[in-house]
Amino acid sequence: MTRTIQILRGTTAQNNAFTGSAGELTMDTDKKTVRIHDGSTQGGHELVSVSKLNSDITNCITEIPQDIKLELNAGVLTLKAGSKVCVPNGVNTFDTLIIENDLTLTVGTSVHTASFMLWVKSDCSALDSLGPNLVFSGTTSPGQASTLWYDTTNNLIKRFGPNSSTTPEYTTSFPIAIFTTTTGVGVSSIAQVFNGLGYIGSTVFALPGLTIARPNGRNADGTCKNIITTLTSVQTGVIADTNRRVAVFLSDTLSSWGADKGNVRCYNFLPSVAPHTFVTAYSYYDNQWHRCTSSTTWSSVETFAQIAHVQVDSNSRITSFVPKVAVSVVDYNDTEFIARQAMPGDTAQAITFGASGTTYTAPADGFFILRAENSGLSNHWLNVTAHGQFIGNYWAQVANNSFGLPPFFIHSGGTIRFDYGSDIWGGTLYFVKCVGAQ
Amino acid sequence: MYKAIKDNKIIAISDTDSEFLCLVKDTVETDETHTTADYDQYNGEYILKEDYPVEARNEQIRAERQARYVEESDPLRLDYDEALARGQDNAEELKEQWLASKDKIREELPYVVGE
Repeated sequence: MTRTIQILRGTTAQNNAFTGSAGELTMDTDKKTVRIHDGSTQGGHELVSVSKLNSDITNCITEIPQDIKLELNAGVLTLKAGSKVCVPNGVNTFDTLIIENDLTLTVGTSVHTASFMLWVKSDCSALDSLGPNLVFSGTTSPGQASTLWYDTTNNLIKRFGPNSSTTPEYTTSFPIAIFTTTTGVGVSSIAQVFNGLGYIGSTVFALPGLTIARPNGRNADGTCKNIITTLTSVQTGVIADTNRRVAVFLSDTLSSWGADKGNVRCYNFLPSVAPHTFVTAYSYYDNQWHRCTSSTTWSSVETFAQIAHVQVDSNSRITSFVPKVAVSVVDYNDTEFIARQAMPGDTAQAITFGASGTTYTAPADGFFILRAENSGLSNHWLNVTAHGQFIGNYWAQVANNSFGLPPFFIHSGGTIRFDYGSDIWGGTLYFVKCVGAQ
Repeated sequence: MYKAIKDNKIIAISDTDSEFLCLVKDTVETDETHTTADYDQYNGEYILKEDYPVEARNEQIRAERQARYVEESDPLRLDYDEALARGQDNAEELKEQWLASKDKIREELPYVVGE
């Protein structure tokens, strides 16, 4: 005989006032959500309703696994221990490797100004890189030395060294990033990190953990009806177009559609007849993707989401890859989570302290922290100007000491300037990102 | 060493940092001839010590001397004054120590002679 188990139920106000035992569940009958309790938090913790996620957000990425932890400091690229990389390892086989120790890459300052694609050797022993023009994918080897080739037939990525175009030196992971170099500097910036999705040659790849909201119509109340899909296995898709922009779509598998000449469109209301053949169009009215191929009659409805667009060259090789930014939904009851985002993170980035009057730009939302060093008995002073406004002045009359200043909150892109007298001979400056800063 | 340049002025220097993260700058230059020890800050920019204006440098030296007088010499002077006031036998010795302290500071921080 079956039994029905009902948990405690109440309105939002009643739930807000209730402190449940650890592990207890209650139902919010107003919002149709569940709260979990920990024995001490009044109101418990509300689980984000899937329906809330679905209501207005569609055709997008909602979560990207942040498995690649890549840093650049003083010309040195470091893939941090704990990062995860995906290694094609035979037909239908993809290994997830965890980096046990930091891996670094440096290049000499005489390097040309250029872009490079970065990957990990499949034994996790080192990083390596090549210009994207030397990276290929497909069923046929490029037949050149000093190249990287994703052999899609055997599902292996092969690195050919300078002395052979037929026998690879080793196999590798999927590329993890694109970085740039500058003559006189070496590695100067990280242009892209392939968290969750990326490309190699003509092939786009999407990794487990990537979550998307796929348009699938509307509910009776007009809210979007979506299919939420989280990839559980690696998906790859080969771009066959040449010399054009291509839109990349993901359902359970990857597909693509040439996007030039209005082949990918968005409508408020889908026209009864397509403007021309071979069109993929999103209709806001019915929250659906529609397609026509050899005629202008809409022939199919698709349940995919667009996740990126690329530019390909005459060999179908991807020369530009622009993924869509993930859309995140934060429940308004997640106050602790929300507040935490503005708190200082764990890492303080050391910054060279410049001459009096030097201006600094915040690389992210965060804090500048300064400890000034002084000598001499005469009065020493330091003025702080942030966002163009004078915000503080510090003065002391103590010889040979250092003084720390309160952290200066600043938003990404904001500027701060320190003006100081000659009795301050230097300082130690740090930038600390907020927890939630990008 | 590396130099961060803005409006034709050296606004920051470092023996190791070639990026000068966050600094608003025009360019970064490499200087293989000097180290940061060869530079001093003057009027909001870094200049070679050998190019430091004599008058400004001497003013700095004067201030450093003054600070050391207070820290090192003045306590000795007070000891001498007290010994003198009390008629102690070691007053002369304390005087010599006080004056030797000042001479040492002057010797270690000589004024720059203008060209």
